[in-house]
Amino acid sequence: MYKVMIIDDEASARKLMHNSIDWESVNMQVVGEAASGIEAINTIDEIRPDLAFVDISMPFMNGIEFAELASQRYPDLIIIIMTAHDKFEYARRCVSLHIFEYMLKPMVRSEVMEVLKKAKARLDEVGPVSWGEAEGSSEQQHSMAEAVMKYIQENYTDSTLNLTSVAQAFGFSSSYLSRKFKSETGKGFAQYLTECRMENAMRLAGPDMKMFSISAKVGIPDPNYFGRCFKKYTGKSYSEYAASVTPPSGQ
Amino acid sequence: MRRGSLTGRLRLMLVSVVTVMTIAFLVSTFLMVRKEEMDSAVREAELKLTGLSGSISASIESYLELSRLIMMEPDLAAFLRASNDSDIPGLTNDAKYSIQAILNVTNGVEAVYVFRRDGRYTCTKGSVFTLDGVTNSEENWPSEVLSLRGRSREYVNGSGALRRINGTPFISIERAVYDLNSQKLTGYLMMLISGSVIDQTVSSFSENDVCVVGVDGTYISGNMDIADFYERSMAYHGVTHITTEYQGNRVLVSASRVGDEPVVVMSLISLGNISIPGRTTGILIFLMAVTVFITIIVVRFVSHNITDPINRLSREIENSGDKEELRPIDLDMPGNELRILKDSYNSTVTRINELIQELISKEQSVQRAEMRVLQEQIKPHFLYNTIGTISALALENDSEDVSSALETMGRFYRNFLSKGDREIPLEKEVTIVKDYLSLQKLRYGDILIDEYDIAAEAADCIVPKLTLQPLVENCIYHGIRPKGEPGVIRIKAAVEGDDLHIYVTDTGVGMSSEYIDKLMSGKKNGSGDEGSFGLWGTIERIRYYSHRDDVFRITSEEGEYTCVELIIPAIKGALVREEKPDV
Repeated sequence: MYKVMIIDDEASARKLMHNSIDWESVNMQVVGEAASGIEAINTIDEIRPDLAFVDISMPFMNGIEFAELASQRYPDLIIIIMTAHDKFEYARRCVSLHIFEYMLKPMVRSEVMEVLKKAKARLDEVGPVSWGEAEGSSEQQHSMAEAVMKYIQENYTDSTLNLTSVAQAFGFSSSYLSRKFKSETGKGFAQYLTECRMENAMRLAGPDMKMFSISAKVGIPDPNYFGRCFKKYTGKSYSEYAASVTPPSGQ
Repeated sequence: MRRGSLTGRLRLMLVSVVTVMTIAFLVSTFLMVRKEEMDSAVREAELKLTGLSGSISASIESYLELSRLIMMEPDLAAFLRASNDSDIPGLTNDAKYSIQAILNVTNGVEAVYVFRRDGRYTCTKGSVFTLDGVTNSEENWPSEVLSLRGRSREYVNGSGALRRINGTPFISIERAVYDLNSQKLTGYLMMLISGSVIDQTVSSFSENDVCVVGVDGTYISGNMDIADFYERSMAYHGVTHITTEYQGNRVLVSASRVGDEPVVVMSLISLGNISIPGRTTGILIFLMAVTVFITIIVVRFVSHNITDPINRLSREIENSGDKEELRPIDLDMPGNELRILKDSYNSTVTRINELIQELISKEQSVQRAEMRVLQEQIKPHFLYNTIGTISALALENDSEDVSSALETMGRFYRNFLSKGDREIPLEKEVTIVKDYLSLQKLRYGDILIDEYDIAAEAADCIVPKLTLQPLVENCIYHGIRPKGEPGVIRIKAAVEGDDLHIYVTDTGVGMSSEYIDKLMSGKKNGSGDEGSFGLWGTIERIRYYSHRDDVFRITSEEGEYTCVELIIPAIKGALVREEKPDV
């Protein structure tokens, strides 16, 4: 089964894609969704899709920007762009990117199936995306996790930071980094990155600080996704939390 | 040639000047000819009259001399002195023969009568004259002759004592006779001269042109017709001229008395056959030619320098309107004034063209904005996305929701298209917004609440279609969604004074004052970034609709709210539908 990720800011659109397509007939399965490019960056390393449907019109990081990043980091990932805007400018930019297909909304099942068949043929030919099980140079750097943690603490404000980008920065495969990091720290890479951002968000939070400005400061410029992460981490919504914070002393 | 045109008037002026000149020429020529004619006739008449009267006077003078000779004849003195009746018949004959002897040396004297104081007389030829039985004694002698004391007086046809038997005219020389020794009045002498003497004189002139009459109008000699023009006054006023008609011709009749004689000479000279003196005519013709020439020059100058250029200019102006836009005129104009006229026309044309261009480009930019609103801003992608949303609802078997969503979408598009109206009541626009937001809520979930506060009188006001919808769309995509929290969109409308004020407020991320400044400065190019387009498209259309610049305000606080206030003239629906420009 090939794995499919759907990235669209519209919940109903994701649902529609999920439910209306007979994925099994092309040996595929929807394994993850993201409501924004930001969310997708943060979750793609765990979802590890072979194929991604990306809507262009999304706030914070639009589909084109995401596709630019993704085609650098995941050169084998099959990216299918979706848009309701039939704009020449979009099509032109997609041509210069590594885009498998450019589809216009509203999505028509038969067209989608045709594209999926083509994608399946490609995947059958080149094999699923390699999310790498290959070992890195295993013995060097006992304190590799420390270096990565330091790197994260210095760069967490970069909203495009994720496992793969860090691994590329350090010259490892992402799976090696992931495993190594977990074994050394007992936490997943993504979990650590999110925790780091949430800690900083809690530090900055206050009754006068709006969520959207905090979220941008800690590297998750999508306040919706940030809100979900925050609640998961603290057990409270940001507004509840912010209201309970006493203003920093000295003020 | 149009009536009243300058060229026409110039021609008219030329024609009238020439006409007046010609008339003046003819009149003056006529008058000069008349005068010349008259002068020459007068000269001729005076010449004739002087000659004639000189001749007559000379011949009468010679007879006077003769009569003086007779008076001094001794036989006659003896006859007059004699007191013895018996002596008288002999003395009468002596005197008669002596007188005849004197008369032999001359012609023309028809008879000489000499009377004594007692009325007895001697005469040379009694057969042709008669005394009519009157005794011509002293008491009958005319006192006007006696008072001359011996000097003579002449009468035509005599002083009345005698008359010619056959009635032909004669002239009598009459004088009183005094005795040489005693100087006493002794007798009365009458010398009777034949009119033929005058005839001889007259015949040396052309007889038809002259006439001799007595002062009493008695015809003596010459052309008898001329005597008819005689008036008594002519005998007393030197030379008299009258112009009159004779045998159908204009003639000059002149009269002059011959010295103290009882005779008037008259002449008749026909007028109108005198040719105009060449030099005078030449000068007149030359003057006329010069005047006409000068007039033509003036007219040509005026037409070359004024009317022709004006005609050319107006032709060019007419032609310049043929094309799609007015062309400036490129003509060489003589004279400053015409050049100024041309230049000011050109600058007017340039200004008009500019204004037209401005209008066209304004209209075009409004149309572009409308097209963009219609085509890009909502229609396709909103429709496609909504279809996707409804399709997802259907898959969830939520048929009630599907139905109401389709209903909402249907109403949205019906109002959105509005039969192509450009302007709709605010109420309808609000309905568009409500439907739009309810469809958006289906797509994005409960991220927003919409609130409306539309005053009743505001609801009827006319606004350009899609005034609010693009602003509300901005509220979602640039206000509320980036905030990541549910937000409120509040639409408030009220009439304040003459204007309708609409406030579109969202509790989204707000804008920094720098961003507002940037937004305001980016207004000139309508193709600014996506976010500002919806705003600027709306602003441009409202400006065009309301013909003023000040149509909106933005207030905002970062992280709290953004409020766009639109100010549109408050015009109620019914009125506008009629006044609405048919574009």
